[in-house]
Amino acid sequence: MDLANESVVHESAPPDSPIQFQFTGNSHEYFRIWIVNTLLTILTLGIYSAWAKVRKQRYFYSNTLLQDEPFDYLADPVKILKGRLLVLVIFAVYAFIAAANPILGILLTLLALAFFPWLMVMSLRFKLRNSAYRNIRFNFRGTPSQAAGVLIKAGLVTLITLGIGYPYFAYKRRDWVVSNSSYGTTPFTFSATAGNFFGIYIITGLLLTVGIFFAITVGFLFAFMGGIVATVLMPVYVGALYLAAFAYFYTAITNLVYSNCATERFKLNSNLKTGAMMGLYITNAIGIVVSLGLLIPWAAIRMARYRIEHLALLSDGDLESFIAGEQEQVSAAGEEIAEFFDIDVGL
Amino acid sequence: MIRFEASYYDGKSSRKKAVEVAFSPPGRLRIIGLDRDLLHNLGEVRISPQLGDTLRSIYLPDGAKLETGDHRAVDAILEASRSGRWGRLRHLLESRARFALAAVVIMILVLWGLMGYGLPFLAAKVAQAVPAVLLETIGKESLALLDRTLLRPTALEAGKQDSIRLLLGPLVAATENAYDLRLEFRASGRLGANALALPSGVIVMTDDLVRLAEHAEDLTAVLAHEAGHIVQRHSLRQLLQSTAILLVMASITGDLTSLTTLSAALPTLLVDASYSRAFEREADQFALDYLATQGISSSHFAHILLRLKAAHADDPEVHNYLASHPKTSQRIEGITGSRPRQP
Repeated sequence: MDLANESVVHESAPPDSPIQFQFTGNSHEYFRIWIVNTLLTILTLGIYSAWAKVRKQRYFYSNTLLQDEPFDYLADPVKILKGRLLVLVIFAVYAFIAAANPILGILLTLLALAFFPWLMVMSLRFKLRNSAYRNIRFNFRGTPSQAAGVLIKAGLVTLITLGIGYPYFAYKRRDWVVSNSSYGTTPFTFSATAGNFFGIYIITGLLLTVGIFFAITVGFLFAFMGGIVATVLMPVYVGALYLAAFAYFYTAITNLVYSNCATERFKLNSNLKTGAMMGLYITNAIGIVVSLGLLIPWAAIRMARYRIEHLALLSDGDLESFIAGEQEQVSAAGEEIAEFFDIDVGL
Repeated sequence: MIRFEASYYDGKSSRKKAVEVAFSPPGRLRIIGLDRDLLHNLGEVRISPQLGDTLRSIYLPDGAKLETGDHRAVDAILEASRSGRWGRLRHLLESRARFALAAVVIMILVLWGLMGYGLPFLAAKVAQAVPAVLLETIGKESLALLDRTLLRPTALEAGKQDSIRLLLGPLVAATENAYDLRLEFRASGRLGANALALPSGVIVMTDDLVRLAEHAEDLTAVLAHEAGHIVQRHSLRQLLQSTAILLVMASITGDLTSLTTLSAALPTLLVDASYSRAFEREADQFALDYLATQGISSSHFAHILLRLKAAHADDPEVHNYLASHPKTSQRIEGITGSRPRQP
């Protein structure tokens, strides 16, 4: 299953040798960190979760190396805690008002929707400005009005085409995110096209359609035999089908987005394989269930290792002359609210 | 004097410079190897606490940063300056196998206490504080939804309905009129012989159930069981407990992505089902207590449960741990104090 690989590298990039990203984390070490931080989070009724989050993030950042130099996660746990408390207060007030007066509750929900572009921007800013490499921070310069523009324009296209245009929306969102990101003062550019996105969505759709059609046909044939085919094989088949489609989709989108991120000095290249991702999903899920959750850190490390070690940087080898930009402080509220709603805003 | 090698980044460009750092007590860092040596007081630098085996960062006040893998030197500096104690304690906790093992044990105990006692206790307190107006609204909405989906108008004649409604009188009196219990009749092919309790105090009984009952006392037992759900606010408590469990699970599985999160959904389902079974047992107990005050034999309750089980014999068996109700044989054992004879 190498479908994911065809949409990757374009020839325009600097013609250099790849520098592989390395991952040095290991599951023994991370298990100890994870269990202590999770326990402290529960014992402090969630207050410690802000510190635990920074600790866990830092572990993954600091173990991600490029040319033997680690990335750095710089978020301040106190800010994250403040963000989380703010979210909690907003939610309590909202829940109270919505319970007392449902109509006012609906109005508030609409008001919250109007804040969504702002949330997206704040979340991306917090994430990128707190990420650094060689003591140069990443940055995000998109504005809420741009975000609103992208959401409204691409959202309308999706609506008018009854959902068929959704890949265009997916493309537009990524394009906006990457094109407004920078490493220090060096901006990223995004070279994927809407066509690339349509291709991945169409293949995923075909995979599911053909699979389900096959299931129905075969299912009819075997329906008369009943028993084991209907109760065991069919759910397994449908599960595997969904998993394959999901693994293909995730792999292809990740490869497409990363491999089309570039600056004038370097470009990224991601070459995840659908089969390997599927294997990771299955073994991770089995491990977590069988160990009653104790293998969660093991699963997280394996996934990170595979993703990071299949990412490379193509450049002339000189990573020493990037220049930092001026920094402003960002509050964590945006990211926390976005996280609370489980909004996928990033890459 | 402590000396160690480090990488120096000025924070203005990504250029790396190899430097040597010398620390002389009581508190001065000298950075050697740049155009000219830099001096910083320990009070103005921030030293990252140890995390696994990752490199240590020393953030300098001008935005520059030192990076080193020499944990011993960095810890010696922290020691000399009597700071970073919490950081060292935390790293100690995070790096020893025996602490990890202890954390696993404590976590299991805490989760067990939280899920088994803490959350149910809190949920019961919160549920009792919810105003009746809100319960009324929720009940009305749920009944409307059920009427659109699962339920159809009853085919029972009015006289039969009225005679069964009379059974409710003593039940309301027994709860000291604190609950506005009402009885509704509906037909339902999908639910079969069944009864439902809505938080507003409405009990819905299906026509099939009425037909299934041989004595009025059978129906009294069912009504008392459903009244138990209402009086003890089970549906609200179930909702609160499920939400809380989701939050606990989210805090444990927080760093999982996408599909693997599905494996975290299973334990949530198991815990939810066990709460549901606990509520059923509570409602059974409520019914038994009520029947005793009315001088009705508990065998009527066992009898209707057995008939219900027989009526639902065609339904697929759900495995014990995922079932929303305890096994009928176990319930009857709780009612009569002995295992039932198979009908």
